[in-house]
Amino acid sequence: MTELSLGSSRQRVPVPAHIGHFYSGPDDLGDQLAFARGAIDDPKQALVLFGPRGVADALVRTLEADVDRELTAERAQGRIVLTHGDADPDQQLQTALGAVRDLLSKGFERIRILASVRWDIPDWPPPEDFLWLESRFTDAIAPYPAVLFCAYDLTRMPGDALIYGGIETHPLIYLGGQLSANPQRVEPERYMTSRLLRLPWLQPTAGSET
Amino acid sequence: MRLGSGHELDPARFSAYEALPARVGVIDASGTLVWANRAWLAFRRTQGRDTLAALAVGTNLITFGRQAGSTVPQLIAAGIRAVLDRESAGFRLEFALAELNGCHIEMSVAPMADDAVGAILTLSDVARSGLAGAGPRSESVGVAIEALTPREVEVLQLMARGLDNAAIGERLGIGYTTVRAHVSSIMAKLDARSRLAAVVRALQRGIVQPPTDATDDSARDEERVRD
Repeated sequence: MTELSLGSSRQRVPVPAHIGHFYSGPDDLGDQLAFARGAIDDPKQALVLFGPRGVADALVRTLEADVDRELTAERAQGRIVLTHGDADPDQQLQTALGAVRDLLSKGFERIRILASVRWDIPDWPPPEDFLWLESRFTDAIAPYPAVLFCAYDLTRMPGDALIYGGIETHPLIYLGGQLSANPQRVEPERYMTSRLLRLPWLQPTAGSET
Repeated sequence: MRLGSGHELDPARFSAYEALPARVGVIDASGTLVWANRAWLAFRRTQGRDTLAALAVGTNLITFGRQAGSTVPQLIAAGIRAVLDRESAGFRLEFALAELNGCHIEMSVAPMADDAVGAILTLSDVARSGLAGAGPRSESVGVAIEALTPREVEVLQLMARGLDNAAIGERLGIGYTTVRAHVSSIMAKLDARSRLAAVVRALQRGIVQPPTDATDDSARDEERVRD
């Protein structure tokens, strides 16, 4: 079985995997940086940094500070790829998968995707569409040797994002340095009918129906 | 932390909620608060009583309604804000706590998404600045809609099953960009800001049939083999 090391605890995770990670603000990026460094340290691996416009760039700068050198060469080699979010969730899905396929075609054997999650911001899918996107990712990356590490900021994300997105869509959770199976994950078909189509903010308000 | 005497919900399942800063509680089918994370318990201590769950969902009235044989519409017409059962949608409720200097609290209530009977409650401070607590704006359905083409209805039906554009294209034998154009047109005609909002609006208007969560092997296989 193919595995990757994960986070600062170096736990092993089977590939492919879709992991929800919870952290506490900009001073708590250690596990994300450790996840990313795994690709920098192994020439057979590649890294996709995924987030809203500007966020992926900021992640690279933070990563450079962490490894104490510029990562210009890795970016020029295509080992580190920056991809930006899109208001269209399907486009966002295609962008992520396209980056993975491109890196595999270049000969990299395993792909790490570090996704910096945001909620209800411009140039990012609306919350309900973002949840749909998250629910699709587990199956979408299943054909590929890739690990998708979705980082949710506990200090910025509302409860709906943390529970419906962070917890209910990820088969694995990485929290407090521990990787664990997630019994609260809901299979996509059921998630669609039992959660997405029933989100409270999508229901008609009283008296609004014509 | 386990509370009350929930009989169908295993509190161990909710351990992932423990570390969240959001105040999360779980009620069982009878409306009893059976589990709450530390943030909820800390907030409850500031209240000096444990009325939050009941306040939000009128849970005792659920039992009353069932005993009285009232239908859900009758209960709501009688002033009950919500009746939670397996078929309920989630809802939001904002209320003020005078004891906290008029602080407004929003409670999001969502039925469990799996087979368990119960609901997840999440408390947020409405007035809190930034992203937290500011829920997405509600959809309005009081708009006239332009008629959808038969092909758009087909696309919409597959969107309602959760398929992405590539899978829809394969199912209908049309290209990705064509599907994308149909999705954009559907959203415009239904005046929906998002893919999911378009689906919900179409379901509410009976344009498409509700999906079931039964596994569709052919659809799943189709999605897995592409790419």
